[in-house]
Amino acid sequence: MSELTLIVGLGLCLFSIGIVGFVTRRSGLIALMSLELMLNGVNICLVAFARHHNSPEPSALVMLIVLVAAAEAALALALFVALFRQSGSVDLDDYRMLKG
Amino acid sequence: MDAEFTGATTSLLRWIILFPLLGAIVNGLIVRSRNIKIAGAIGTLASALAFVVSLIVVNQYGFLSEDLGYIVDPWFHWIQVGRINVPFWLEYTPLTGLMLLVVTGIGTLIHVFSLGYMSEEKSPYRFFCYLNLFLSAMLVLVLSSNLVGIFLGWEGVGLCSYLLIGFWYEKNENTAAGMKAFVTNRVGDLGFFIALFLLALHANTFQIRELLTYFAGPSSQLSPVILMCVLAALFWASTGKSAQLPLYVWLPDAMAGPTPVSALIHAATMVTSGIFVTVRLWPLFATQPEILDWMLWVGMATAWLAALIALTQRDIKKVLAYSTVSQLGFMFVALGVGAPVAAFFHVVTHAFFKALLFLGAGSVIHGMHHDQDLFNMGGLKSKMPQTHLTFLVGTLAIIGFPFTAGFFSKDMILAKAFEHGPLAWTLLVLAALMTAFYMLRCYALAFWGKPRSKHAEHAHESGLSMVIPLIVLALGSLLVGWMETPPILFDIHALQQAIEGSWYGMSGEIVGHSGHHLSHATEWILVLVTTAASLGVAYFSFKKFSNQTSRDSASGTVFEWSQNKFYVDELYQFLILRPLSFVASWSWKIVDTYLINGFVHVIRDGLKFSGQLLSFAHTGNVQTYAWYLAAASAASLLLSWWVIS
Repeated sequence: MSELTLIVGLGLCLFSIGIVGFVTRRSGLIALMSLELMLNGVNICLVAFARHHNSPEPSALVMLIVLVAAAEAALALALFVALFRQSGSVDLDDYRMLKG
Repeated sequence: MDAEFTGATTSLLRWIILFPLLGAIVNGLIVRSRNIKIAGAIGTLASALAFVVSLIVVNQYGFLSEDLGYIVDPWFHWIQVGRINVPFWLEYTPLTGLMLLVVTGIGTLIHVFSLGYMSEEKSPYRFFCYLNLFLSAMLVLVLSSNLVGIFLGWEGVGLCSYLLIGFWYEKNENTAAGMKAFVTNRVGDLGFFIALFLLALHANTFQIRELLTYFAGPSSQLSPVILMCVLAALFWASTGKSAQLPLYVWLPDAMAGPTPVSALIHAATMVTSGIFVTVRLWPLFATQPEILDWMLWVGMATAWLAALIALTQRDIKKVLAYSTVSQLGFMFVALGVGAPVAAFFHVVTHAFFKALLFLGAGSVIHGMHHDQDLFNMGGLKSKMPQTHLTFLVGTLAIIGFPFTAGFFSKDMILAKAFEHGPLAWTLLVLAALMTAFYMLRCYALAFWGKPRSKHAEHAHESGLSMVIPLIVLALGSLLVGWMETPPILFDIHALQQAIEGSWYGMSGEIVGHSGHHLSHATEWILVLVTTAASLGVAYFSFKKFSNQTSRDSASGTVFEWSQNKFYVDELYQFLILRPLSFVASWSWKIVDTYLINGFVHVIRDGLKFSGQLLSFAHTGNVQTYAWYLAAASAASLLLSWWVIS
């Protein structure tokens, strides 16, 4: 098993754990953490590809994702604070206003 | 502009249209005065200015010069589509000049009359605005150098007629009458449309001058069938506007409008526009004897039917309305026998004496506090002396009393009918005798005998503004006949010269017509016989009705049929309106409710149902959506992997 396969496998594991966490946990904070996990799984894969192909572009993408993730985390946390102030809960199950 | 242009250009003609138009705008949009003196002064001034300009124009160009050339006011470019070019040009021909004087002159008199007649009106500015608007539309019709412009005027006068018939719109039947006039005229206008479309397709021009010079001669490039269709369509249009069978039904109902309107629009000017257009295009009509035959018999039938109805009407305005329809029938008979000069002569004389009769009736109605029933009148002779005298002049003119206007024009029509054939002559003479009967009946019932109601007892003469127009029109009714007299009496042919000078040198002789003229002896006999018969019938009628005391009239089957207008309205109701409303209600109840609504409902229900199905997927929980996303990504990954391998 080559180095690349191992590292991509690690990224895939992180991504899958993130998906399962995002879909199953009720707490919005945990879901957010799972989301970060998924992003980082992707990042690891990208870094591996950059090294394998000896190319800088995937690394640039990684930097972008880190940046966006940071912004997203800040925004999401602020939203959760606001939601908690309003309804006293950050459970995703409690917010179903868009039910069809 | 074409190379053969000879003549002159002028910018005077546009002012004849502009003055009334400005009057309408000032009255209707700017001043909006409820004071009759202000509104009436603006309206009358506008009309009088148009008359003055007409006088100047006519004085400048005259009626009688042999070769007037092409006198045109090139106002502006109007429509230019493809190969069709329609400029908004106004044109002077002797025929136009005559019509100008009639329209603006009688129009001005009627404006003056309205000052008195409409004095108790709440919104006089509206009345004078419409009246001025009518004048300008009528003048567009008269002056336009092409058929599209004539059509513009044609529609304009129709609109104003509608507005003025329904002027007292608080009453339902008035607006209904206005609507009837508008819709009936629309049926006729379809004919005008067809004529215009055919000309656009096949002739490439609407200029009357070009139509006549290119297509009336023997070297016409237009196929005879097309020309015949065009002219038949124009005749169809004329039956609408000029109230001939089968479209005359709107005119009697149009009497719902104020009486000056009846005088101006529904007697003197608008209703004669069909005849005016026909005379304008006469060299074309002269090439199609079949259409002239149609005109003859349609006109004859109309003259008869309307005269029969007029015999028994009780409403003074209805008598005059049916009389107008009947006289218009006379004019079409004249056209039909190939005598456009006689027809237009009758247009002019009729404009005077019928306007006079209507205004006289208006004066009577004014004095009678708007009671129009002849059988409530009586004995007005002493109470309204001027009205009586002028009405008498009008009556004598219409029955053809020697040397009045109607005498000359009617005699000319009868002589031409005699040249055409004895049958047409006999029928026409009988119709003329009916005219004598109903007019004297109307006159005697209104002015002689004893008052048959309180209103009649307290009737009073109308004011000066109403009497002066009556007197002027009475003078006109006595004198205008002298512009064209038969060969046996002075042999004046001013009108003939004027009209023949309006055809750009084209011949007005009917194709294949053997032009034999009557000998002087025959003419004398005709004149004496018809005049004597007319006066005899008139005397009989006068004797019969001048001492009418009861407020009822005779009875009998024919009488009932006549009084009920031969049930023509009911027939139309049955033949046209009932089927129409049946089809309409059928298409509403079946087609609309079931077919169209059903179709729309199926689409609506389908969308609603599918939406409800899909809405189950929307749980509102963001984690479910994440599931969908993950599952869909996985599925598409698997799919692409499967496709690649």
